Amino acid sequence: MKMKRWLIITIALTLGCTAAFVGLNYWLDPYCIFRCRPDRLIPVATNERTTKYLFGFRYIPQNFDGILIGTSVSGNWNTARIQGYKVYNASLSGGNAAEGALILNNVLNHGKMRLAIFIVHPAMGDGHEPKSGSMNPQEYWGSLGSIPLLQDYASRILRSVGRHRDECDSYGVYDISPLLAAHAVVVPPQKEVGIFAGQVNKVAAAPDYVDDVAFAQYERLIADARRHGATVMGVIPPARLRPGEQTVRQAYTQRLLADFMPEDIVLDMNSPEFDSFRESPDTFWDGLHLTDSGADKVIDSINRRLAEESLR
Amino acid sequence: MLFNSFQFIFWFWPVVCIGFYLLCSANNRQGAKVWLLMLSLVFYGWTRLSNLLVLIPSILFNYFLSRKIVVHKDAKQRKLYLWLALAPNILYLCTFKYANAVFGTHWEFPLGLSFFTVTQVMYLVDCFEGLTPPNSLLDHSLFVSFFPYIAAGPLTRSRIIVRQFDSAGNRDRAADIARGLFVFAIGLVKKVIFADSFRRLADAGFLQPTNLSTLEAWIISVAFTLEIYFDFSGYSDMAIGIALSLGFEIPENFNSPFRAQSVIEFWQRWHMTLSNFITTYLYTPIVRSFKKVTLATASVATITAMLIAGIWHGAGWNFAIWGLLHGVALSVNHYWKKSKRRMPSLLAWAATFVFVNITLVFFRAPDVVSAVSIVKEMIPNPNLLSITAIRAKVRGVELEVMLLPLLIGTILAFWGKNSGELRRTFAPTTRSSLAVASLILVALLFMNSNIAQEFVYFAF
Amino acid sequence: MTSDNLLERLQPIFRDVLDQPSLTITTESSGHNVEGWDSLAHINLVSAIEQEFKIRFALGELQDLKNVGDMIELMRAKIGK
Repeated sequence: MKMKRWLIITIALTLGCTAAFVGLNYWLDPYCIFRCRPDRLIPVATNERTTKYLFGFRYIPQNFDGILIGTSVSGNWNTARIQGYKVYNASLSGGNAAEGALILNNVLNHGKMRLAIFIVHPAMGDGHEPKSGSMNPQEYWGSLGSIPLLQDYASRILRSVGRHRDECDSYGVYDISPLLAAHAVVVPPQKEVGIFAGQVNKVAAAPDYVDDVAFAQYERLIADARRHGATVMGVIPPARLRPGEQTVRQAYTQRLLADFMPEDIVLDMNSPEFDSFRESPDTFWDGLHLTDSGADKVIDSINRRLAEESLR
Repeated sequence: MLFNSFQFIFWFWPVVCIGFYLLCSANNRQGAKVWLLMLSLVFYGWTRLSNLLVLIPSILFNYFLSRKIVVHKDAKQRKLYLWLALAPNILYLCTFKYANAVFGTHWEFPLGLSFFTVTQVMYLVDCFEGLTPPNSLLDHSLFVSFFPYIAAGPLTRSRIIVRQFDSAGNRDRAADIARGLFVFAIGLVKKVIFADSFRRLADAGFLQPTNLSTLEAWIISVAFTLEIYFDFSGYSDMAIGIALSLGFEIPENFNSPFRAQSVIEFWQRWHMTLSNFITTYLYTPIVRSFKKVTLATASVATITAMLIAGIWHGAGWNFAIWGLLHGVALSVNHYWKKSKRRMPSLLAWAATFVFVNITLVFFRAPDVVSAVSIVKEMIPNPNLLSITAIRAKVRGVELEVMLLPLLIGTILAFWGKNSGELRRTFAPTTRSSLAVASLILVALLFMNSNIAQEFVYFAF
Repeated sequence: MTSDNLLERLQPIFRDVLDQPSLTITTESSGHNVEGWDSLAHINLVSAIEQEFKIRFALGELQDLKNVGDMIELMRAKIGK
């Protein structure tokens, strides 16, 4: 064919396919950004950070009025069981305050939250940089056509033929069964007392590691939620500490607690009333992370505190 | 602005072409050149407006000085003005390049300074030798700042491009745009898919270069070699394609460098416009300055020229060492050829590739110490075949996405046709149309999956 | 001075500089197809030609001397002056 014809065909083909692909992704809208129907429940198929971040544009503000910011420590806390609020579990495995802020601010910019729960844990101060290149505005455009998007489609297709487990459910709660299955082979839970299996973050390796910028970020995180008008709740997750770690952990926790105001709610799962809970072999699966039944007890305690507070 | 960005591909490039061809059709040659100049300055100042404050004085200075040079017929005076013109250019470049290293400052290096200094040096020498009349201000400004090559070459001589400016728009436009799009698409894929994948692999090792196994040290060094090849040749392809779409032919920069069977041949295939500059404007004058041209004097010239080329790339000792190693290798190569000894071609190829690889470690490593430690790790050591260090950094989803490009890229780098060959055999068929469309679509997908990466050579 | 004439006069220069008494060059001969014609030999060839024909090649012209044919072209222009 002649060059001119070739050129027109090639450019038309390229533009046409681009438009079609973008249009398709807009219509399919897997992250519920463009054509979100209310009450459409979407699990996190893959790419936890990208997905939970993109959910902040519409999915979370439209379907939830509460949010939990945390790390893998709070990842499997089943927030669907929280009463009085619909709370989305926006925990990120290996997350920190910097990453929590990216998700929280995106949500707060697009909707109203009545309740914001934060874990009060050293992991939130693990570094003051986001740990990945995700969770930035560019990903919004990526939802119209990108490799993470295709991975999401692939995951959903594989899920429908039973070859893929979603990372989190429609409330953002982790599915830890693959982790448990792998772990059971490695170390029997009963043998563990305060062992941090596979947790190689700065905090675990050096308990007195202190990052001032991270602390400032945590403070800003809480303040942003409070300024937004949400009820702020801090939960100190239960911990099974080795002898000698108590004092350092206490100091760290106190510093984080200083960011909470009298009007905020603080739940301390390390207080004496939960001693037997923490000692029970069914509570942790690796000495740091809670089993699902352990997490349920935490949710029950959260519900109790919220009920108490509402009576005041 | 980057070539591999949505704004460039979807609005800047089309706007430049449309405006340019409209003005050419209206027979407004002058207007067409002004249009290109204006948009080139927009392109150049896009990411940092203050870069223009570096570019424009350079253009003006060389425009005026080139006129001063040709005015003088007396050889001595002519030479004086040549040096009066060259010295500030070199000083200008050195100041920006080495200030940070010498004074501990953190100035950002102005885009393309190393390149448009070299092109203007060539122009000044050409004026001195009477090979070209001095440019008009418009021609000179456009020659220096032409956006396809201003960022990182290919280094184009003034007389090659200025005569094309004056005959612009007289060609088969559809053919030019079609071929240009074809070459651009190849370059785009090389950059955003292949270079990016090899970069991730190389970074995995170079960021923490201690305790690598032998296999890992080799993997990351080959990965960096391929990264810089795809990055720079991809960028060059895009530059050539864009220039072609406007009807301009600029020189090729790469010609399947990994087919080279000697270091001499390597430099005839790698960054060809730079090696032409080094040979013509550095090596030749140095060699001629000796009374007698022998292998020994040629070696001195070669090593000196390559040392300069090394530090032209950057202010670190590692760049000087890279240059020195190549200078020495080239000299050794010349002695070998003179001795008429023979080496089996497979061995020659392997020796060349291994050498290039090792020297590029110096190019990439943050300093000489880490470069040496990586090269040491490349020597077979007890930790031979483990890949745990790399696996720790590159895994999961990122690895899945990278694997296919790594595989295809490796095959293409060693056995594929290069972009020059593909361009010469390009034909407007259904197949090539589908190929170009697919290449661009996949590239766009990759581009939208990541923040656009800067070219490795942008820091020069 | 015709091209053939120049080609004839170049033969002994090439044979001498490249140290190949049996070499015969054509207008197509270049660094790619003639043994031993590398950048060093190139400089020596250019010097020898400059001396023999009393002409001078500019630095900027050296790049364009891709093959013997190019050389002859350029030489004719210079010798004519």
